[in-house]
Amino acid sequence: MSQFFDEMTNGAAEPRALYRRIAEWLRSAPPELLDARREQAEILFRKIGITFAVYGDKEAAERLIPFDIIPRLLGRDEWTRLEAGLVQRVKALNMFLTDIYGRQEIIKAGLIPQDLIFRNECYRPEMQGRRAPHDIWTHIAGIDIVRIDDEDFYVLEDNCRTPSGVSYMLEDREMMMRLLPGLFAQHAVLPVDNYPDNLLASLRSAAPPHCPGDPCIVILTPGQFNSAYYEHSFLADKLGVELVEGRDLTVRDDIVYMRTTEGEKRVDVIYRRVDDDFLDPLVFRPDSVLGAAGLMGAYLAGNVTLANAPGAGLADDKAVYTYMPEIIRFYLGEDAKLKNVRTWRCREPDALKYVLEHLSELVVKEVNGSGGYGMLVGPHASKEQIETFRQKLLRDPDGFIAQPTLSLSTCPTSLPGGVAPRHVDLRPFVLCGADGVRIVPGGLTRVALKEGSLVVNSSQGGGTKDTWVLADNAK
Amino acid sequence: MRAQLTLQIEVRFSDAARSANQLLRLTPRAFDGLHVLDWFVGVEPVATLRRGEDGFGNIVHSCSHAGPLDKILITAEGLVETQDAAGVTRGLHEKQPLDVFLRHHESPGDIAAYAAQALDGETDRLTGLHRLMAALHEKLRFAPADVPPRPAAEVFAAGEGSARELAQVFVAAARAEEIPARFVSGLRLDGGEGAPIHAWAEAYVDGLGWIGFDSALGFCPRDAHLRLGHGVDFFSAAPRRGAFFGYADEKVETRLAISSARQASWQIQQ
Repeated sequence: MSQFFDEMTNGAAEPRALYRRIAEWLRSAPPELLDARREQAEILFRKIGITFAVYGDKEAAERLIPFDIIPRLLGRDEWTRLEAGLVQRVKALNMFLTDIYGRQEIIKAGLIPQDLIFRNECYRPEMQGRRAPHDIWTHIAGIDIVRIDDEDFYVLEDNCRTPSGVSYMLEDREMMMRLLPGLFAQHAVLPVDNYPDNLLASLRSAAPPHCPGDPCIVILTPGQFNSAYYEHSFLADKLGVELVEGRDLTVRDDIVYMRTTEGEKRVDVIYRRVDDDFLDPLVFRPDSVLGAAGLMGAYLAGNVTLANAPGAGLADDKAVYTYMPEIIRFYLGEDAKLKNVRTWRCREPDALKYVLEHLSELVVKEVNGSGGYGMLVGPHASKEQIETFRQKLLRDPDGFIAQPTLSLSTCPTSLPGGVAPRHVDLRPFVLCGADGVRIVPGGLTRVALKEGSLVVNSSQGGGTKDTWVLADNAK
Repeated sequence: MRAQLTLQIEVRFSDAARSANQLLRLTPRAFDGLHVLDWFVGVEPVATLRRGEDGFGNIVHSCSHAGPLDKILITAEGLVETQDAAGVTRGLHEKQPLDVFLRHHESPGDIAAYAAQALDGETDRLTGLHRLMAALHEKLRFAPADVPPRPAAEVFAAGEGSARELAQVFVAAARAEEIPARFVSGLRLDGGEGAPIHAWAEAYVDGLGWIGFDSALGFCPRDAHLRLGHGVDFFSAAPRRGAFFGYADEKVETRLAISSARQASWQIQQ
């Protein structure tokens, strides 16, 4: 019996009721069928052109993210619990950002150290004293969830800047329906294909309050060399909105226009997939050509909505993450429904001491890092790697947090040698509009394909799975 | 000192620009050492100037021009009265907490070690900062220029730099010593040599507040420094940030004319 919670068997000989049909199918399906479907999936993905660029790897400039054909299942009861937790968390994140860039009550209450916020690179002085339209800062949030038993959901991290991966959620579903229609038909799977409609409705509701008529929405991409360019164009297509680059936008007298073949058109909402630093060369990095000069002026004048709002990255900082239970209690007066993973803040001397003594057991992350770059997975690291990290930690303890190596749950995964359990996480996408929170039942399940590996990031060799939220309860 | 001054920034495009956007920090904000009696900012060709406040409390004007544009002339002029407050900047509306000014915006490189050596364990912060200013004034040659600053570590290694570059070195040095420091841009009213737009640094001393240090000139700002704005670095305090669309090259010329500057004195009337 394995020490991990396996979502299919939970360590027992018989599968969980939820996975009964999947288990039956895996027992009866010939191995060749799985192999064939896996190859077909790869061919299809390549044909559609869903690729992902990996930074710092020339060979794999445009790589496929491996897709696993065995779905990951959640019961309706499990999803209901998770959904309530996500709604609560995103509400708190938005209130936190409104507060930090406003009255700063949480700092006055002494719940969060001041330097943690104001020395943070993600804190934007330019936004101080400003309010985001409708007080929504993070219109699209990706909350990374892991399980370690069949009860609780843990939040691994919040992504409030420009979370990506939603195109995989949608494409994976398409793929499953094409490759294994029989298996799909045996299950009552809740749909995710209304995500683009939800996104469009959320963005529409977030338009500036005095926007006349039907708001004009665009997606701002850094361009085709961005690792998630496929997703940008995919979403623009699904939403039926224009995909623009910075050079397509002009700002005149605090109003943003997009150049079109029919002349200039006023823009009301920009779903931007460009980082804060590059939004406006007049306010942020002066050498940026990815944004538009004057964009921040238009935003601050209330003539355009940026989703997500500039400065929202502060809330997904890994050091702020550790305060999430307090943040939720402070603003909502409730206990957090989703648990936080136990975290040591290396800025605290006691915690640092503990971390340095237990480096080989812990996962150490850079506070500002993302995408699995610059982290140390203690149990899998060599002596030299641990030593370099020890030096890094001693030099800049404020820049790191540490977490125990979580025993992430596993799901059966189809591999060339047969079916074997692999570790998974889940990124549901939470949409915030002026008219409420929308979440489609599902999300992106990422799977670590290497045996024993706990790093699911696609930049580090992870794959994806379709996530089926069933109409039946798990218990 | 009471001074009547006119600052003109002329931006010429080698080829007509199609459109341009500007963000101007050319309006001084009054504090204990500065009265602004009269002030005007204008652009030519005429465009709507929208007045606002940035994240640090500086007064900003923004404007956009539709092309074709050969040149843009920005004028800021007015009458101000300054007082020698030994560099102390009190009475400004501070929007940001001190921690913002402790953030390292660039790697200090060798500057950190140099700052530690210059301060030499001095426990009185004010004395230490004066020592740091003197040391940097000694070490780095002031070479006036009106171009975007190089990284502080590079300026430090080169041994010379413009006022804004030297100010950024001072800021990096102070922050390396965990002293809140910020970048200030302004003008010199004494007609001394150098680029019309000057820059210096301010550091925070408990009990006194923000104090200016001009390591290019080697002293704290007196009544001949007219303060225009501050920020975490040059770019967040730059008097002008502009962007234009087109194929042209941009050439900027800045002129400062001071038509009357005199010290206050007793006027004896018979």
